[in-house]
Amino acid sequence: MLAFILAVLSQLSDAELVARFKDGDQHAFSHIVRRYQDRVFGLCLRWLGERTLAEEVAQDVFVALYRSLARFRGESSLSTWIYRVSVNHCKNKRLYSSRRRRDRHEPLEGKPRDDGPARELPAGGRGTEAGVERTEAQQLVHDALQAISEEHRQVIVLRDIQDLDYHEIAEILDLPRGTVKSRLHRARTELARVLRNRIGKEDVKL
Amino acid sequence: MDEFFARNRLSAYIDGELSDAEMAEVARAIEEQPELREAYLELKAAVDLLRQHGPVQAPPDFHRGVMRRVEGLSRGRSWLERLLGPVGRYPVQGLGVAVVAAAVLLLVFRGPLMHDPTLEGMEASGPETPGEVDREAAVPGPTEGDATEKSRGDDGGEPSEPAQEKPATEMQEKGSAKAEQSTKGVENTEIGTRGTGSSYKGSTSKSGAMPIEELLEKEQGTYIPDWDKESAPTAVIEPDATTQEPAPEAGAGSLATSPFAYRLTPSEPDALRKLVAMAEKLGGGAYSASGDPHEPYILTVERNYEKVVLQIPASRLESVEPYLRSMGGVVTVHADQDRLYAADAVHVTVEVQYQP
Repeated sequence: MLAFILAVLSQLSDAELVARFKDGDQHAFSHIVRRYQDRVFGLCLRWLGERTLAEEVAQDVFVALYRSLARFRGESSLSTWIYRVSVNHCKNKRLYSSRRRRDRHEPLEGKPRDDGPARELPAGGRGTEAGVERTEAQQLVHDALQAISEEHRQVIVLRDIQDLDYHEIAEILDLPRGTVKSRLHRARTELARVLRNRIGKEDVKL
Repeated sequence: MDEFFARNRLSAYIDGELSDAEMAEVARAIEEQPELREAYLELKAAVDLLRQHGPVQAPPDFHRGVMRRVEGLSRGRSWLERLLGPVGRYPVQGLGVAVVAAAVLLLVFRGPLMHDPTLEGMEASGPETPGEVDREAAVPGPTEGDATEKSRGDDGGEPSEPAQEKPATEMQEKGSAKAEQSTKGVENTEIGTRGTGSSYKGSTSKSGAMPIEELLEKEQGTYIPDWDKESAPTAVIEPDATTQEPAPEAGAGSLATSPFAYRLTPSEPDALRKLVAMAEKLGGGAYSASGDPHEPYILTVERNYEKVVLQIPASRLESVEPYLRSMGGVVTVHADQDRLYAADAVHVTVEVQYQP
């Protein structure tokens, strides 16, 4: 029976799922979570850079969604709306984290270089995101994204990892489309520079 | 096409976001200019790497974790909300709950309203008196839309009419905890019932401060949360410790470091409660400087200073200052309208110096 319900729900569009949820169908919300969990978690992980934190924030996104979905009027797509929620949660979390760090600890040695050569990280340690970044390439992507500015990371994650078009990114980040385009160019240039420093020019070309 | 011009279009070229003519020009430039070609290949390699190795899957138990939390929310719904069913999820929820609750209250408290002498003694001592019940409902919490707590208040009943009629100062003179809690009830009705904006019916408060509903309606045109742009409902502050945004830490409320900081010199002893009520009405919460949820108290000549950190959704930030000004004696220490304003929620530090 459950399999049948899931099969039916998987055929429904986002708008139909929302309508069902508004009518009290809890399975519809469950299916929305299934449909978007990878994207939301992926966005949070690539944005925040830490698995535990990303999972917590991604769950918060869906809880917020659950609370607010009944008021969703469908003027933008559900996908865009969920991304907006996710982006705001990530921004919020970053804001709090940076404030905490600033209030708690001011390193005597100054801000560490963020795009320097790759460091040896202890295998299986927290810093390696063990179990998440299973391949060297994934680890490279992870490290490179954390090495660029947050403003640049936002557009890269939305465009190159989440595969959103410029229009959607502009809507989600509340930016003019032209700004998205120019920012994305600068972001990719910065990322390419970081990658070049980390693994060498020739390897990147492969 | 010169190299600079083409170089700045490489990213859009990779995405196919140029016009046909520009696509052709950039393609030709890449073919003809080795340095440009090198830059293009490097950029393309970076993009391919991200597209191939960037996406990740959610942890296997992620879905279960979300549904568990959501089910917890469902269980937390009141009998009234459950009774309302799907209707309860629509924006009329507040109105529906308020209307039904008002009808029930009218029946329950018809006696006290008519000053039935046989009930006078019971009001003060019985464990089920509205004042007792309201104590729970009046406890301020940092949760917005905390259906459980709100509905307890709705289910349990509003402050009794006799309690509402007593002025705050009279209650304070009695010096009992009971009186203080009843005073909280007075303020609740004065400012408006928490969480259900539609239930407010008054126009001006006894103290002369502008009621928050009127202020919000004046500032924003409507009291219903702003969904005009389907904007992110991330100002939601979760009901439990695991989902709640971290409270401001000790030191975070420093006037020097806060992006928004005000000094308030109210003449009203209940200013703290009004601040908390305002924060909650705006979808946020209030914390003490230590980061704990703020427990408002009646200001006195002896206990006349408090620092409160309000967590306000950024979209509602503009409503804060006018309301503070309506309470009197505001000095803007710092109001950073810059980057932080784009964040989802903003901390507003208010230093309250009671000046009767």
